Amino acid sequence: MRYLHGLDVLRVLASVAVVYTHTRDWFATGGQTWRLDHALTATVLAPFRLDAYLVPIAITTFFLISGLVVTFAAQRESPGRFLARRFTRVLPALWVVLAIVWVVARTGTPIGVTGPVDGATLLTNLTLTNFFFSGNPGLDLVTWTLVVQVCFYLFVAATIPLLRRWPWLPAAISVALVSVLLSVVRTESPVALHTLRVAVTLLPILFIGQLIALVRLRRLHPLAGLAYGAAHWLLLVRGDLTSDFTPPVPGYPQTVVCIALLTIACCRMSGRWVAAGWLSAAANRTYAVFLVHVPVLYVTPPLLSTTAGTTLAFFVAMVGTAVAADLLYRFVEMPAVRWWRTWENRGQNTAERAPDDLAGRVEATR
Amino acid sequence: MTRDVPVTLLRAGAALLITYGFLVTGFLASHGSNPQPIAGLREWVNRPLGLGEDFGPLGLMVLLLCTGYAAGGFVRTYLPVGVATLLAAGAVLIGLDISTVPPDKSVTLANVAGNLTFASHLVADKTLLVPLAWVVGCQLVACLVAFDRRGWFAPAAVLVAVGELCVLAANGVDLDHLARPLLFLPLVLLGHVVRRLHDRALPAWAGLLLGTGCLVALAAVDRTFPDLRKWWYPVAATYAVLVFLVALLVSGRTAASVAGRTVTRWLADRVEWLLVLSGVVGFAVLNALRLHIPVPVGMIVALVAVGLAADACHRLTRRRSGT
Repeated sequence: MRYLHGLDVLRVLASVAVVYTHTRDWFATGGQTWRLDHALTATVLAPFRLDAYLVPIAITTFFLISGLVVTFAAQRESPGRFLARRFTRVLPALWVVLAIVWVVARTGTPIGVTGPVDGATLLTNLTLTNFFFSGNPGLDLVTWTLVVQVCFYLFVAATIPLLRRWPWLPAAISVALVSVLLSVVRTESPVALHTLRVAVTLLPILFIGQLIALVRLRRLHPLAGLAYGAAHWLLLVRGDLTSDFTPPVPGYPQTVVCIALLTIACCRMSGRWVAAGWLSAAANRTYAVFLVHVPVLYVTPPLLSTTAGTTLAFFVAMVGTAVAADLLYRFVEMPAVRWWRTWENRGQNTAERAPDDLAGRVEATR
Repeated sequence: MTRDVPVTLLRAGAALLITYGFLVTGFLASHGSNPQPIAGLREWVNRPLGLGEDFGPLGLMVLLLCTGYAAGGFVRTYLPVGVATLLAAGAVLIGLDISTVPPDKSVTLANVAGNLTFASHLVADKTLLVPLAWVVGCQLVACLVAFDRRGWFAPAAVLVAVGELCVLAANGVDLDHLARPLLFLPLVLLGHVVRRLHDRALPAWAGLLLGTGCLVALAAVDRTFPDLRKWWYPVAATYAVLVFLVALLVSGRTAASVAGRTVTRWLADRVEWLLVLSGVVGFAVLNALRLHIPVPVGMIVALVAVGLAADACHRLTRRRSGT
C-alpha cells in the first residue's frame, strides 16, 4: 500500500479548522471578534452552513482518517503490537503536555483549568479517567476525543484475527455493538455514562473510516462497504436523534458524509504539491498541534498589551502553537516512537525486524 | 475504465432522485400528504443531511454536473422541452390536471411559444407549462460552453454574467424567478471545467480558479436571493460535487458492472425525459386516479406511465435525430 499523501492534506485542513474554531471561541468568550472571522463567515462559512460545523468537520476528519489508517496498520500487526504502537504514539506526547499544563496551572496562571489542580487531577488526566469521574477538571479539554480513539483501538485489537480472516465480520459486529450500546446507554448522568454515550455515538465515524480502508484494500466488496457505511451513518443519526446532549453541536451526520466522500477522493490524490515536504511535515505535527493549541491559546494572548488588537494576538497564538507543536513532535513524539521500534526489534537480525514503515508515518494519525 | 461508466451511474442515480423528489413526494406534498415511509426517510435521512425537497435538487445538481462533463448535441438536448411543452399544452386544453406554475393554467399561442423558447422562464409571472424546463435551459448553456475550444473563456464569461445578475438583483431589480437557474448554472460550468482538466485541455491552476469561481458564484446567488436560503442548496451542491468527483476518481469493476446493467442504462438514457414528463404525464395520471384508487396504487401506475412515455419519447427522438 503506497503512502496516501492526500490524507496529509485533509489532516492539515482539519487541524487548521480545529485551531481556528477554538481561537474564535476563545475570542468570543472574551467578547472579542476579529475581521478575518467576519469576512470568512460572511463569504464561505454562512452560505455553506459551515459556521457552526467547523468542530464536527475537524473531529470527523481526524476520526475518519484514524479509522482508515489504523485499519491499514492492523493488517500486519499482532493485537499486542498494534496496541503498543498506538499507545506509544499517543501517550508520551499527551503526558508531557498534561504535566506542563498542570505545573503552569499550579502557579496560578490562567490556562483554562477550572477546578482543583492537585495530584488526583493530574493522575486522572494522565489516564483519561477524568472524563469518567465528576470533580476532576480537564487539563486539556480536547483530550476527550482520545477516549473515543482508545475505544476504537481496543475494538480493532480484539478483532484483528477476524479482520484478517473474515473482514466483513468486525464490520457486522461493530454495527450490532454500537446499536446495542445506543439502546443501553440512554441516560447521560453520571458523567461516566455521558462519556460512554459520546464514545458510542461517535464510534461509527471511525468504523466508516475502517470500511473505506477495507474496500480500498479489496478486502470488502464496495457494495458491502456501502451498506455497512450506511448502517453506521444511520447509527450516528440515531445517536444524534435520541440524545439532547450528544453530540453537543449539530452537523455530524452532514459532515460525516462530506468528509467520507472527500477522504475517498483524497486517497486518489497524487502529484508534486500533494507530496510536498512541508505538507508532510505539517501533517506529522497535527497531533502535537491538537494537544498544544488550547493551552497556548490561553497563555500567549494575555502576554500582549490589550491595545495590540485581536489580529496580532491571533498571529502570536498561532506562532506559539507552531513552535510548541514542533518541539513536542521533535523531542517527545518521534523519540518515543523510535525508542519503541528499537525495543521491539531488540535481539533480532535485520530480516526479522518489524518494518519501519517510514518511521511510522503510515500510522502517524495514531 | 471508460469515462462513460461514472456518467452513466450518476445520470441513473439522478433519474431516481428526480423522479422521487419531483413526482412521488412532489405530488404528495402538493396535496399536503406526508405518509410513512416518506416521513421516516425525511426524519432519518433528509433532515440529518440538510437536504430539502426530498433529494430532487440533489438529483438536478448531479445531472447538471454530468451534462457539463459530457454535453450532448444541441437539438437532442432541447427536444425534451419541446415535446413536453406541447404535451402539457395539449393536456391542459383537454382538461387534464398537470403540474404548472402557477397552478391555474392558461394556454394561449403566445404562452406556448414563450414556453418553447424559454422566454416564459426569463420573464417574471408567466405561466410555466413545464416548470422544470429551466434545467434543460442550463443544459443548453452546457452545449454552448462546450463549443469554446479555449476551455476557460466561456465558463468565465457565464460566471461574469451570473455575477452581474446577482449585482442587479442586489440593487433591487426583480430577478427572483431566475434565482434557481442562476444557482444551478455554476454546476454545469464546474462539470465542464472538470472535463477540461481530465482531458488536460486546461492548466490545473486555471481549473482551480474556475472551479473556485463556480462555488463562489453558487454561494453568491444563495446570498443574493433570500427566498433560496431556506433550501440550503449550497449543502446539496457540496454533496453533488463530492459524489461526482468520487464517481470519476474511483469507479472500478463494481461500478462498471452496475453501469452495464440494462436498468441503469435505461435510466441514464432517459433522465431528461423523466424530468420533464413527471409533471405532465405523472401528475395527469395521479390527479385523474386520485379519487378512484388508493394513492400508492395510483403512484405505481403514474410511474409506469411516466416510464413508458419517457421510453417512447426517447426511442422516437433518437431515431429522428439519428443518434
